Amino acid sequence: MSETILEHGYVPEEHAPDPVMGHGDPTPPGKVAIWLFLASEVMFFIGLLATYIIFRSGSPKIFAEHAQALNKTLAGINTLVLIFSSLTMALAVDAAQKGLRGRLIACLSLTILCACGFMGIKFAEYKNKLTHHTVVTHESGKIFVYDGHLIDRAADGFKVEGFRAEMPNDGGPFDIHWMSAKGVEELAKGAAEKEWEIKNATISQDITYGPWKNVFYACYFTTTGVHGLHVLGGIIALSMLLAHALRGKVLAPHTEYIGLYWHFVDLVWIFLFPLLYLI
Amino acid sequence: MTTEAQTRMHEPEEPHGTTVPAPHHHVNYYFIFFSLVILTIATVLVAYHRFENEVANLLLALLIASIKATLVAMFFMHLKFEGKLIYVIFIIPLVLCVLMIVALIPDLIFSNPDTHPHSSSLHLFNSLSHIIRGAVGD
Amino acid sequence: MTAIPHPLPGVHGHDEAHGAHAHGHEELGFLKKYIFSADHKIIGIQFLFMGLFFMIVGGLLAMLIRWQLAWPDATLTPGHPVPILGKLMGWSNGYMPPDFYTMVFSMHATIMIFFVIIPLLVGTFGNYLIPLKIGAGDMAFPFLNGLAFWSALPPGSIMLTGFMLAGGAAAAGWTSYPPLSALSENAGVGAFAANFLRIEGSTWPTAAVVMNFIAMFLFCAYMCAYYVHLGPKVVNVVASIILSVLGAVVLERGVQHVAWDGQSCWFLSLFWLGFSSLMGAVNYLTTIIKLRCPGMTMFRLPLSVWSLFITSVLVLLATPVLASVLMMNLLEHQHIGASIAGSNARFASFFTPYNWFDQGVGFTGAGQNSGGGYVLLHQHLFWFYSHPAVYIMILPAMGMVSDIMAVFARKPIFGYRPMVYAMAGIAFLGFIVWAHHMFQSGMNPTLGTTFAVSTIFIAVPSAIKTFNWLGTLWGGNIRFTTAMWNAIAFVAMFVIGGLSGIFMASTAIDVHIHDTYFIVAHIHYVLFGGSMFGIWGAIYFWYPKMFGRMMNETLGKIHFWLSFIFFNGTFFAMHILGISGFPRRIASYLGYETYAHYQPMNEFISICAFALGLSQIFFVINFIGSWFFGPKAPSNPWEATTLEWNDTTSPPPHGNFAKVPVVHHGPYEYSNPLVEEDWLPQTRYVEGQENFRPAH
Repeated sequence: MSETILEHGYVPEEHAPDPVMGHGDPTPPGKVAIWLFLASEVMFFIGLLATYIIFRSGSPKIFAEHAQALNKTLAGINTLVLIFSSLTMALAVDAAQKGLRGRLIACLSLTILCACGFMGIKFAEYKNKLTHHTVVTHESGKIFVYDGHLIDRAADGFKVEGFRAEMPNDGGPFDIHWMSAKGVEELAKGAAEKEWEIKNATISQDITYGPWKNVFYACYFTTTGVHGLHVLGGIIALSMLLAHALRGKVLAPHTEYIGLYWHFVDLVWIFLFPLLYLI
Repeated sequence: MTTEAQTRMHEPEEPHGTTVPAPHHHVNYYFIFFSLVILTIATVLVAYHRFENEVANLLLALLIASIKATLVAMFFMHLKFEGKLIYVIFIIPLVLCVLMIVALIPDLIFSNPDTHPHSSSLHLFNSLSHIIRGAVGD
Repeated sequence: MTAIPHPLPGVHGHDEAHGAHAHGHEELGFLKKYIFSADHKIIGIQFLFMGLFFMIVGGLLAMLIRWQLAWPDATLTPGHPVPILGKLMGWSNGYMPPDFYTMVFSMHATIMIFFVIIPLLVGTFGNYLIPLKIGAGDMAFPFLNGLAFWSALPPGSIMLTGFMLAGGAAAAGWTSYPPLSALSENAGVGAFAANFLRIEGSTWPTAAVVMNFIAMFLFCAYMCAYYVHLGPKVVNVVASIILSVLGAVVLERGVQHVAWDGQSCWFLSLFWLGFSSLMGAVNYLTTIIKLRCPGMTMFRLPLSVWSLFITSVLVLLATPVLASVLMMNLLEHQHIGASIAGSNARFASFFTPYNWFDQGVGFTGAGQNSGGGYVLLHQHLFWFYSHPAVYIMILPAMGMVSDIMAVFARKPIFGYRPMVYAMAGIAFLGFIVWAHHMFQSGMNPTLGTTFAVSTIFIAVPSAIKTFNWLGTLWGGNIRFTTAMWNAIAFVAMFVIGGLSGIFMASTAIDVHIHDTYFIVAHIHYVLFGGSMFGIWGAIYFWYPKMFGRMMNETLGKIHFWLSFIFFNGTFFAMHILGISGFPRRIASYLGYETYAHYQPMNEFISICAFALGLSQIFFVINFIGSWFFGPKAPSNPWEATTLEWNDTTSPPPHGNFAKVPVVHHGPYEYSNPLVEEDWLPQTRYVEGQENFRPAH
């Protein structure tokens, strides 16, 4: 076989089906297929959405408190970045359909750039969460709980910047998984945020803000993680298109299909943003 | 035989979405983009200045998200210019989504209606639960 | 037949447009023609072999289940150690330990459902029949079609890997409900030496590593075969091999990180298999929507194509939900190292409650999870897939049985359109009945009533189909071939399975029969009596088209009658056991006075089951023997009307049809008085036909 599916069109030549494209409907098979694929993607995210709804209504306090710990500004910027990439993608599709190679290359590059920007910001967000520790220590007869970001790590311990409070001894249930920065701040009763040094020997419990923290973060990391994987897939597909465009090939149908996928990724984020960060 | 056969060919085919899309859609993408930006800013502002009623916050955020999603789907994804077929493909999962969520609601609200009375979503579900219970005559 | 000028431009312009590639057919080497083929016929046959291979595995597991249930205890039923395996495994007295039994029935169900019935029905016949029956040269996306097969191999090998791990394969039932499925399997942590194929701390023995390497290598090699174009052929081949090895190494190492015990292998395998199903479904739907030949309107499609169309919709919309829930299961099953989380905890908690410990791992309090998960969420999401999956496993059989019945009753199918609407109705209802599997799970009872009502609705379309099959047979000039016997058995067994389903749909009766052998009897009447007889019927029917040889009718009938008798002997008795409360998923019931006296009945069932297993030898002999020694098949041995029998050879050539077929009427024109023969091919035009039977 001398040509691939991407280079040629829908299918390799020797398998080219009878070119009767449906009966009276001009929608090409590729477009039907990509919409079918998107329909199945919708169902995939519905599974995650159902999880979110169940957990949110089951643990409203955890969701309310821990959503505050997420960075709304970064996520807002990310939303704008993704919306802008959707605009450039729409323009890229338009350029490809009109055969304007220069514009196509420019728009695709911008889209890929935005996608990488999105992933960069996402990475910063994740890193922020994974260096956020909640620690319970036994120090000279007292029990403390710390909540703050890791700033330095030594052989015998580490430094965090955040709040420290003496553990409440009211007989109520305490669970490190439910503890948030806000909770520790309230316990600390107005004490300012500062650097704390924690010795490994004193630690009795230590947990970061990963999916293992609680159901909110399980939800947050799964949904945004899966969405991030979709963005990565989009970057790969867009780069392939760009490579073709740079070699002088304007693939209008493929640009449109990948565009549809890319807009769908944007669409998912439009829902994830308020669900996870805002409400 | 050939002639009859040829006439047979003109029988009406059933349509699978016979709307013919125009090759170039004249959409002002910049306008859509700015609408989306404004809506994004609006939803963030609403989130920072929360209303008293948590249900209102929830519904407003979802409403804005839905408008944004509709804009993206209709204009960026050219759904506005597609035939019936694409609409059918697009709508079926949404119907199933509604069915699934509706079926999950009883499991959410009837199981433990008096835990977490200050939850926003539970308020919504609780009020729904009263409506449903009233209707069923529990 | 007269050559008919095509109304749409470009149909005969194929050659001019792609003249440069006109010789593409001859250029295909052996590898791309028969191994890494993108031809739907080869892919269908590959799926067939895969399904039959796994059927042997799953069937042997079934034999083990029955052995254990007939003679469960070394002291109370002495003298019946498990043959061969008992010695090999070194069990005490040669009797099966309970945890092994748990594993056996879990894997039997999993393999039979996901690796036998679905690949055989959807993979094999979906691939083989759709393009041939709609008059297309191939699928809409042939490369994707091949990828669907090759990406079904690594899941198969990952699933089998479970057996080789120290803790054994998944043992939480085929539904894998957490928290049971969230437990790690003890010995799964036993590690082997690391090398370039094995990560540090890998639990995979060498046999598993090698098997998975082969499957993943083939998966990568298929993609390389179509996408590596660097220069001359030798360069491409060498580059493809290097890339495939690299890809396989990366995949293999990656998979070991997450699939480290039987249960995680199970989750990952089915998650991956979902992609294969999705690729297939997108392809089938696009093909049926876009590539029908001229004149082939939707209501001229044979019912088998309709059923595969509706099945593909179910696969497309249900499988992703399973993928999402399996992904969460898999994540929940993982432990995170102390270096990441600061404590050796569960990766995430979706379905397990607070403070739930995994004793199996042996961490002291560190296997703890964050909690807050909801067990019923898993069941809701799982059954949101798995109930439609039940229809994925029966609808294609229904469609193919309809085709077979019309052919051998020499009559048009009774009520073509109601058949289509009934299938669509079943498919839609299939999405809103899932919670009837959860009546006893502790979910809200309000839901129970709702779902009981919607479940009972399914009786309506099912009954429409059954009566239409009977109507098709009524007054027909029936030819009792093996395929026809299987088709008739399908209807009979489906009726019994369907009727027992109505009992379960009723919430009150379900309290009594839940988790008893009544359920086991029901599922086997539907999936074995239904789907398997449908599959056998389809294999007997389309074998001449697939392999160009006729199967032996005598052997076929022996196989059918033995299977039919022993099938009923095996599973009918289970209804009686179930009504008396005999529990499923229990290794030894002899300790319970209530059940102990059912041992003779279990022994009877088991003997029937072994006979049922042995009867399959006739099928194997027939299948393999006919391939080499069967008489050459004519192009239309059954005198059928559809395109694959009338417009191409047996087996069809690459590209299926010499010229684009043009269809003039529906698929079931048997005993039409306008023609001398009693069948009127879809592509043959006769004068006055449109006035005669306007319904099609």
